[in-house]
Amino acid sequence: MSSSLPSSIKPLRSVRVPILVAAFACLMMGLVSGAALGQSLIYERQFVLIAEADNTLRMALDENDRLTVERPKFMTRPGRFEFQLPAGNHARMAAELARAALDSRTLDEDVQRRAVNELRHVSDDEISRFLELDGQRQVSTGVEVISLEPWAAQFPDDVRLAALLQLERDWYVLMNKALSGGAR
Amino acid sequence: MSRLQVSIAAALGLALPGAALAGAFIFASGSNPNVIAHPTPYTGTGGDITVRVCIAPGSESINDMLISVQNAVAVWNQRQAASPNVFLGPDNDIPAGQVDFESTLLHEAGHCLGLAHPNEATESGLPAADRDYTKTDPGPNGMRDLDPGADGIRGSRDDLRGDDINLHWFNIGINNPFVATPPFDASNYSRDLANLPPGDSFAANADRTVGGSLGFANTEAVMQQGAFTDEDQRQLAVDDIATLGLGMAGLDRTAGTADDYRPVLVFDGVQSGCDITVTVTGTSFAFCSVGGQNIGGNPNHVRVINANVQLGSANSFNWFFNQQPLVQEEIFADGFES
Repeated sequence: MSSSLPSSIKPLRSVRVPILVAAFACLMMGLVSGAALGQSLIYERQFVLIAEADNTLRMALDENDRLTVERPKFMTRPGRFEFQLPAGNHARMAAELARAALDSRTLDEDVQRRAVNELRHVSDDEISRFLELDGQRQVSTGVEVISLEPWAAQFPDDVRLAALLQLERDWYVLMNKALSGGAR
Repeated sequence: MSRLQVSIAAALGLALPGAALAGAFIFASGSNPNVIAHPTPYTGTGGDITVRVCIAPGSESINDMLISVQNAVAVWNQRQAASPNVFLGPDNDIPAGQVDFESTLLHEAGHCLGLAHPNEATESGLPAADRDYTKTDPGPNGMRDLDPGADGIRGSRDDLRGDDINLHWFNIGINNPFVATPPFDASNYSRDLANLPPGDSFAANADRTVGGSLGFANTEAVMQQGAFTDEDQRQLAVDDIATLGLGMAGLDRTAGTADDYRPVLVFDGVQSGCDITVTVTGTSFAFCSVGGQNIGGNPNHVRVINANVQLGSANSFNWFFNQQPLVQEEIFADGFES
């Protein structure tokens, strides 16, 4: 995988502010700072209807199967948590990401085009991100999906949305199991 | 108001959604900016239309949300504007860190009635700080032109928006979304920037910062995107009522004619098959998903179909469920009044 942004992931609009990959790496430092400099998997869910800086659920799973969770204050059990998961979770989730990885822009354009053609609308977008960081904490695989849950419900025949929704659910399973186990 | 968010989406330069479905009314866009969306039962015939609102049988938190659903139904039926209508911190009954379920539901229900965000919001793909600009689609230059003008306030009347296609209906010759100008129809409201008052350069939207600058402190359209924890916004603002009122003027967009309608929301309990179904479940925070159907083949009028409001599970989100019903006489036609 390339150590830079996947070429398929481009901004849709020229007004979007280009920000260097380094900025992203800085943003992620807090979440993965305790991780070894190996590959890390990242899942984010940005709840953009909340107009506060802290509006994102973040999870990181490092090569040693250490899971870090940051839950914003409007979620139940807010705060930062660290868990040691059984071996094999990182490998399994990495494989699942590799299978589900796709061109974010193409998916979004397809969904939007179909929405226009079929007169469908989903309000108040949420952004789900699935990332893999390499040893230099740069994105080697990245997928971003807008309003994954409602669009997957609107278009149940879209296997791409279904696969990503399953991946998202698996992240939640990891988190919920860890949280219910009480380890911190 | 600063809504700047550090966005990893921006860092990645990833794709935020296109604006094809954006507008002061959902389904309006740059290619068809005059679309007005109507509640499900409206098919072009005037009179009272009953909009049945139900809680999905499989929903979580049914008992917790009963009061809020009935209150939201009542508020959209009353269509009374309040100023101020934003109450933060010690001025409300919401514990710190919690999000008001009722305020969120009121916003999503507005979408299910056909209303869109009056501001650019997230569907524009703009960075957080620019989402308070007034709703548009890009013009011929293919991008949104963003300049807040001399006052520095995004979404205000002196914004310089270049060739952007305005999707926000404003009162003709006034351009103040906090002032009602009845009747709410095309004789008083327009999207055409030529109808702005002298000196104004763009349509102002009902953002709270804009409201403050116009003398309406702590007032914002419920349909404005952007919620905060510990925020009570359970009452409508003028802009919400005016926009819904434009739809109520019917297909001819003229109030007082035979095709005018009056939406009467009715809470029909816990069942499926209603015009708007509310469900608490899942990991999304809140959304309304709808389909649309042209009315009588008219491309400028769409009625909402299959409207669903989904708010996230209370297992995931720190909801505050208001348990204070509106006074009895304020709740009507909801099937639960005594």
